[in-house]
This record gives sequence, C-alpha cells and structure tokens, in this order.
Amino acid sequence: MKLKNKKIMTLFALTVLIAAFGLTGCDTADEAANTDGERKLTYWTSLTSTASSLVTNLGDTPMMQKAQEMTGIDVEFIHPPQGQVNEKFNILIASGEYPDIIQYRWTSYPGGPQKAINEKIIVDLNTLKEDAPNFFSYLEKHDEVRKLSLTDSGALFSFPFIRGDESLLYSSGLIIRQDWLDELGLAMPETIEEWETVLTAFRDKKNCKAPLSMNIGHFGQVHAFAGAYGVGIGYYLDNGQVKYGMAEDGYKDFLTLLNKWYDEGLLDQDFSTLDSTTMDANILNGNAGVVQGSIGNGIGRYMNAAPDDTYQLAGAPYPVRNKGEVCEFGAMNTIIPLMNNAFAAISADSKNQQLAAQFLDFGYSQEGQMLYNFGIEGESYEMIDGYPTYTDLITNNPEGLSMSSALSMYTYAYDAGPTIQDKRYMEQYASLPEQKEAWATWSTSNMANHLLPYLYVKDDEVNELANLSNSVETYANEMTTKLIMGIEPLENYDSIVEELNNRGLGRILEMKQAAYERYLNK
Amino acid sequence: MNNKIKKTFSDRCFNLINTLIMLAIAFIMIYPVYYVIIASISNAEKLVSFKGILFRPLAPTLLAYEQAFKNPMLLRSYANTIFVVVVGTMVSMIFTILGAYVLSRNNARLVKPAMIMVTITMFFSGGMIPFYFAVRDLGLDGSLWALIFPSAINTFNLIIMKTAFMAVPSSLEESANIDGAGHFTILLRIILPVSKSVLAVIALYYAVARWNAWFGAMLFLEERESYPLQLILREILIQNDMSNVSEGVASAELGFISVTIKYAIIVIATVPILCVYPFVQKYFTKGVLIGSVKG
Amino acid sequence: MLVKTKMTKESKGLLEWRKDFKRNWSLYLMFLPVLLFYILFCYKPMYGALIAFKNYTPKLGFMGSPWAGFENFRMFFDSPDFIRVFFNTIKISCASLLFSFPLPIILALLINEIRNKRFKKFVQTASYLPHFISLVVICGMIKTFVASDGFVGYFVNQLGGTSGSLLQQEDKFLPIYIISGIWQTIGWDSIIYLAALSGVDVEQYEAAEIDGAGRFRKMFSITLPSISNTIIILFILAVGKIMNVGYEKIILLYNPTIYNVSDVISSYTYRMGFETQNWGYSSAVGLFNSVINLVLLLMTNRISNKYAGMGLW
Repeated sequence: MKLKNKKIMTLFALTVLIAAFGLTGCDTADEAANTDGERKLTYWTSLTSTASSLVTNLGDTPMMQKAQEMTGIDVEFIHPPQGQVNEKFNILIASGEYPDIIQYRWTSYPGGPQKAINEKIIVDLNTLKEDAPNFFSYLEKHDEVRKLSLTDSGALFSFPFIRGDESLLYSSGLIIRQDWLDELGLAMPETIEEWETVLTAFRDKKNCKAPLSMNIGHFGQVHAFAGAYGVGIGYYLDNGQVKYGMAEDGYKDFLTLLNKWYDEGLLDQDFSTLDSTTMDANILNGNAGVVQGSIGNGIGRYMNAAPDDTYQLAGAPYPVRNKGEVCEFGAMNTIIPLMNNAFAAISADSKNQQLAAQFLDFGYSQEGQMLYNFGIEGESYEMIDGYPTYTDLITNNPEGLSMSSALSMYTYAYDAGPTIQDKRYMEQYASLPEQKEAWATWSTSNMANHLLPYLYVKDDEVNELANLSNSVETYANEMTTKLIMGIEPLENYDSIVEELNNRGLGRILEMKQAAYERYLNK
Repeated sequence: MNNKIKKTFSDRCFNLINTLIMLAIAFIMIYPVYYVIIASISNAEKLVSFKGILFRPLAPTLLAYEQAFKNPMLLRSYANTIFVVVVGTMVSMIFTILGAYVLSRNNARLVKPAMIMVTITMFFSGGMIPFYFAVRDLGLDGSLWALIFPSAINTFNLIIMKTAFMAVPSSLEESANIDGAGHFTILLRIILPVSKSVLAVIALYYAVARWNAWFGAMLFLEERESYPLQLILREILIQNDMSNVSEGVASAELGFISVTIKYAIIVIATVPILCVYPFVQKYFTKGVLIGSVKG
Repeated sequence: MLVKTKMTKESKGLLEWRKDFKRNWSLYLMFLPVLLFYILFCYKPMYGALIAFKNYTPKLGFMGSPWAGFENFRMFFDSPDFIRVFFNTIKISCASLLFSFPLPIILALLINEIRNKRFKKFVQTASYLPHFISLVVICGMIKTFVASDGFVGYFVNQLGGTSGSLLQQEDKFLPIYIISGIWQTIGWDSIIYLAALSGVDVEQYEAAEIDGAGRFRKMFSITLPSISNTIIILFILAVGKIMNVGYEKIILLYNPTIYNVSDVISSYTYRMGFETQNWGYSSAVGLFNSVINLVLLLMTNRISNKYAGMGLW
C-alpha cells in the first residue's frame, strides 16, 4: 500500500509539473524583431474565402511570391479567420501590439481613421512620402482619390484600393428573367407602370410566388424604384445638399408602391427576412422573376447554374417615371470602395515603417499594377497587341478551377488590395454577353451626381453621429419594413418622419453637410 | 385477476403512447441530420432550387466531398482538433477529478471556502479582453495549449462530479480509512471505480465541448496551420454568405457547389464525435449512481 | 482572567487549524493544480473586470487607462436601450427556464420507461443528434422552415390568418427561439438525468409492484425522488444563469421588424465591444448582468437549503 501511494504521489507531482510547464513555460516565439539588413515585414490582412480554399497563406500564392521577389522584401502574412474578421481586428487593436501593416476597412474604425492616428495605432503616411513615390504621384494626379483619402486634418491613413476607371464603379443592378419576358411577349420594363405589368404577368402567368424578390438592403444598394420618385434610399446628395431619402418628398410614394406590391403578392412575402441564399434559390427555381445582383456574383453565377438551356437573364434598366428618362439613382461604388481589404495602414509602433511603405507603394507602380491585376506575364497573362490577355490558366483552368479561384492565386483584382484596379480585368472577367450588356445598362444613371463620398466627421462629433445614426437608422429600417407590410398604416408616414427628426436626423444631416463641404474644400 | 388485466391494459396503453411519442421525437431529431447528409451528396444546383421536404438525395454525387477534401486546411485542422480533444479531455479530467474529490471532502476546513471560490467563477468573469491578456501574459497564445489549459475546468462539470463523489456511500470509504489509506488511494481505489458513469458523462461533455470549440481558437491562434476544424468549418459556412462581398464580383463563378460543400463539411466534422457516443452510452446503463442518494 | 480565556481560545483555533492541516495536507496538495487554474484563468482576468470602471484605450493599456468611476454604468442605465434589453433578457430566459428546464427531465423519464433495450438506445441516440449541428446551420434551417412557404410557417399562417415569414411577426419570435432551443438541447440535457436514473435500485420497483403501484405512481414515488438531488443542483445552476441569453442565436435570427423583442443584454454587450470597441462600457453591462446572476444564485441556494435540505454549499 505504501509503495503504491508513493507511485501515485510521483504521478501526481508529474501532473502538477506538466501543468505548471504548460502554464508558465512553453514560451512562444517572440515577435520577429528585425535585425539590421533584414527586410522583413508582418502584414495583417484577411484571406478571402476563394483564396483560402486553395492556400493557407497569402504568401503562398504565385502573386505574392513574385511580389516579394520583385521588391526584395520578405512578408509574413497573418490572417484572421473569415467571418471573424471584425472580432479579430478589434481584439488585435485592444491587445496593443500590432504588426507592421494592418489591412482592414479602416473607415469603420470606431471614431474614424483619424482617431486611430490620434491614438497612435497607425501612422500618418505623409511622413513616409519619400518611400511611396508612386502612390503619392498618383494622388497628385487624381484629385478625387486624394480628397477621398485624406482626413479632415490632412492626414493620410492608408494605401487604398482604387478603381482605375469609371466603368468599374458600376457592377450591380436589377436582374430580370429575359426568357419570361420573351415568352410573354413583353418588352423590357422601363416605367413603374410597365414594371407593374411585368411583375403581375410573372405572378399570374408564370405562377411565381415572389415576382420581385429583394430585401430592404437590396433595395438600398440599387436605389431601385425609389429613384423613379426622385428620391434615393439612405443618405445621398442632391444639388450639393446631403439628404436622407425617408424624410424627402417622394419617399412616401415609393413606400405606397411597395406596400401595394406587397399586398398584391408582387413583392416577396418574406422580404424582411430574405437572405441572399434564398434569393439565389428564388431566381433559379422560378420563384422570382426579378432580383438584385452583380455582374459576376449575380448574372455570372446564375447563368452557370442555369437549370435549362432556355434560362436567360438580363440586366434591367433602373425604373423611371416617364418613358425615355434616365433614372437619377442607381447602384454605384465610390472610387475607393469601402471593402474589408481596401485600406492598408502602417502601424505606429512598427520599426519598419519605411520598408512597409515601400512594399505597399509597389502596388501603385507600373509593374506592381500589372502583377496585381494580371499576374505573371507568360504564366497567367500574355501581352497580345499591347493588351494583357489572361491565359488558359485563368480562363480555362486545366485543374478545373473557376476563373475567380484562378484569379485569386494571381491577382488582387478579384477582391481588393493596395493597388489600382484595371478596366481590362473586368472586360475579360465579364465574359458572357449577358454580363457585358448588363454592365452597360447599369452604367446608365445619374447616380454620379448623388453619390456621397466617404465623409470624415470631426473628432468630437464622431460619437454623437454614431449614436444618432444608430437610433435614426434602426428606427427607419424598422418602420420602412412595417410600412411596406402594412403593419404600420401609411397615414402614419408623416408622424414617422417627425419621429426621425426628433431622434436627431436634422443634426446628422448638419454634420454630414459640414463634412461634405470640408471634403469639397480639401 | 380483474385488477391484473386492467393494469396490463393501462400498461399497454402507456407503452403504446410512449412508443409513439418517442418515434415522433426520434423523427424530429433525426430528420435535420438526415437532411444534412442527403444534401451533402446532392447535386448543388438542384438542391438550391429545390423547395420542400427532401427525402432522397437529388442526383447523388460525391463532388462536394471531393471539393471539401481539396481544402488545404481540412486534414490539418482535423489533426489539430484531435490533438486538442484527446490531450485536452485528459487534462480536463485530471483537473476536474482532483478538484471534485477535494471539494467532496466536507470535513476539511478549507473545502467550503474553496467551494465558494469555485462557484463564484461561474458568474463573474473578467470579460474577454482581460482573459485574453491573462493567457497572453503566460505566453500561451499562438499555441494549441491555449485551447487546452485556459479551459481545463468547466465549473459546471466540476460541481456535477463533486455531487456524484459525495453520493458514494461513506461506509465504503470508512473501511478504507481504517486500513490507513491516503486520499489518493481512496480516490483511485474507491471513488473512481464506482463513479464510472459520471466520469463517462463528464468526459463526453468535455470531449464534445472541445470538439465544438472555436472561440478560443479565434482569440488566441495566429497561424492558420494550427486552426482547429471548427474554425475552418465556420469559415466554409459563411463562404456562401454573400453579405460580406456585397461590393460586387468577388467569388463569382463559385457557383452553388459551396452549398453542398457546407453540408459535406458538417458531416465530416460531426461523424467522429457521433461515433464515440455509443461507446460511452453503455456506461449510462451499466454505471452506478450520480447524486441518487436519498435526502 | 479575561485575557487568558481569549488566549486559549485563539490558540485553540490555531491548534485546530494545525490539526486540520496535519490531517488534510495531502488533500490540499491535490487541490493545488485546481487552485492554480482558478487563479490564473479566472481570478486574474476577473481583476481585469475593473475595466468596467475605466475608460479603456488600447495604447495606454489596462493599467494606464484613466478611471471613469461609474460613468459606464450611468451611461447604460440612462440609455434608451436599457429597459428594452433588460426586459427582453428576462422574458426570454424565464420562458427558457419554464420550458427548457423541465422537458429534458420528462424526456429522460419517458425514455427510462421504454422496455425494449434497442429501441431505447435508438431514441436516446436520436435525441442528442441536433446538439451536434452548428448554430449557423440550425438558424438557416429555422429561417427556411418558418418562411411563408416553409412547412411550419405555412401552417401557422393558415391557422392564425397572418402572412409572411414568422420571423417578421413580433409575437412569434419568443416561441421560435424557445422551441428551437428545446429541440436542440433536450436530448443532450437529458443525458445527465438518464445517467442518474441508471443508478436507481431495481428492487424498489419490484417492491412497489407488489404493492400494486401503477406506472405513473412508480414514476412519481420512486424514479423522480431518486434524481431529485440532480434536479435541484441543476435548477440552482440554471437560475444562476438566468440572465445569460446567448448572443449568437439572437444575432443570427433577428431582423429589423423584431428588434423590439429580440435585442438582449448579451447581444448588446457583444455589439458594444466588438462593433464600437467600447470595451469599458461593454464590461460594465456584463458586470451588471453577473451581479444579477449572482444574487439570484445566492437566493435560490438559500431557499433550496432551507426547504430541500440541500444546495451547492
């Protein structure tokens, strides 16, 4: 018995030891501190789902290996798990220890990017001007990009993703079942009345449950139908004035229309809970005749999955009041899109700030742009008559990869990154005739006059704006949905607008207007 | 006689109704899982456009599994998860058994304060950021140990086990005490052998919790190579959620295969833990007692 | 005289401690790793909960951030969200306690009554399956089922004369949340009771049968009492967690039409921390939640000790 006890005692002591070792020992590698002469960076960025199904690290892609080779800089990429990007970013910020480069949607940083600079989290890139000649010369030549990138205090917080051509700003809109239109002998609808006729025909003749299958967010993205009444959805510009759609004349008509359509079964009965997966299903299985989507992710994907040969989609023009008009509103991106990977900032702690700036600047150089848009010459593209043409490796991958998967190994263009997107990428990416046509159709609107740039609000206004917007927008969303569904009668519209004002809509517009004017004067 | 027939009649009724209820429950419980399985071997496009209740796979194909296994992280993350589950459950069981045994000894003076100390932690926590710092300060972050030690004890499980240990008849212990056996002997020789069922249940709880855990991994791990399966699973689950690529054309031609890949991954991630269960289950019927001492 | 008695009293106390240590030193040694765990991973971070009284800025770190006193708490109590998230939390958790707590016990009792061993095992195995499906998937399924053309949504709308997805209707959120919760956890939660039931003495049943007791009689007078300890412990623990309504499922299910009924403390804390990086504020809300939980736990434990003669301690 005694011997046994001793044995057990030893075993126990071992456990404690192991535990203690586990708890205090096993020190992990300290952050790689650069010793002199070593050109090495750490780079925090999210890995897109397309890329992550092929590689575990961005550094493993041919594109990044080439980039490292061309710049002579070693880059160690750190990726947050997808779907947890915001959480991980917030933890990273709270932890107080940062990698050299952090690529994130810095415009959503609580308090705005200027606050991140003030808190000494990231650096004002103006101090690194010499190390980023390409980027700064681009800024000098492109006033709009410069205005969008600078904060009010004139600080530059990131190397952004820039759409290099105006045509790249239009990529989504309304998608309609062209084959149904043909079958029913209907022309592409233009006015609201024509739309109603088409949707009714879809409902009655094609027996479709949700002729128009979109949720509030989808409506907001394309401003569709509201545009016909001369109002946008959410915040927009009108003759230099910042406005909020719901509080403007015409919005009530828009809501009345949707309410009517909801009652008549023309608008999806589940529109307030509709998610993208269900919308996809609806347009594919004939439950819906009209949805909202983009060139690649919408039309391209649906056409690939087409249930039969007759299945045909088309991009629809934005609905207007009178025939022949051009809609004032439509879907449009800003030149610098507010995407997850669109802003690469350099951390204030970094000991390698200059090196980081050099590496990021590469994306704006001639070679860098070619690499990030088309990949490696002779491998992923060939110059044919001075036009960088994707090879079969991309367009018709021998291993059966889809074009976007193949692109994700060789380019940034399919997503976002510190570079300038090339129009010639999109020309090849939108390969189907339907896609090309839709691209042209959707580019026709006067949205350029109404699109608000990203606004930098004053530091001391940031919290106020966030709180007010949260309160106003939550209420507006809730009420919009209820008005359309008829839970809230339309007669209450005026008192709802009043409530919006009570909740501080006026103050929000005032702050935004001031920020917009500061933007103009930059 | 009459009485007896009546009894068997009501007995039969009860059995019948009970069986029916149980069958209904079993169906409700199984169908979604069945759905996931048949969805995973269905043709993706057909599945997406199908509405209603599915009973048979649509145009069966193993494409989704092929695609899923192409993911460079799948097998790697599987290995990581198995390591965390096996080592983690062992660590957890050692810690919990020790804690439960000590807390079940009422006659030692420090036990009650210890019990209070333990219970408080169920309700107060420092929140995530302080927890993160505590783990980082120990240098655990970045390694798989960060998924093992900081969650070694689940206080809930500890209390369950303690309750079970307390229920072991004291007569058994007294006989051992007379022999002059120490605490380790009592624990190993007397308590553990009669507590097999509770040990099995708690081990299962720990193993399943570790199998399903992802938050800690999200919090502490930097390298994708060390991600556990669930984190990869979550990534793939949101892959087709286009809300995060609303800006346009990303991940276009992906098509709809990702829907079925999603289901395939769920099957791949769930089957192993389901297989373990029946082996543990036998302890529930064979085992002895858990807190079943009267009063 | 007086001094002397005091002395002896003190030394007596000390003596008893020494005796206790002498007798139980190995026991305390066994507790060492457990103690280490609690100190390092529970109490050390708990000290960090003081963040609720600070104006946390990452660059200044935990120690360097300025104190904010009760500012964060005051902000929460003053905020218009307070009443809403507070009552939603109470409503949802009380409903859970009312339904989700007793049902696993009933299921365990019913499973226990199955005579056929293989069928019993089958039902048992089936019942815990939903536990293994990830929440993301479950919420996706719920949405499909309660949509206007989903099979649950269709019938409920027909019966109630409503239209649209059930998740668009404020009064349906709670039932959907509770029922799906029960579906997912009932089998898993019954495991512990089944384990307890397996220990019930067969002789007792035989004796009762001779007395002419029916199935229900036996269930109430033998089976149920034999697992009452387990039930009580689990009940106390459940009450102590009453304010913890997980944020994940809420976030996955809610939409603008039902914000009013679905926003709870945890989803609020989550938003405040992760979306606005207001860690101090977020911790303050979390701390408030914990205090309520603790008070509830202490009360239940007290009541249980008084009336049932047992409790957590």
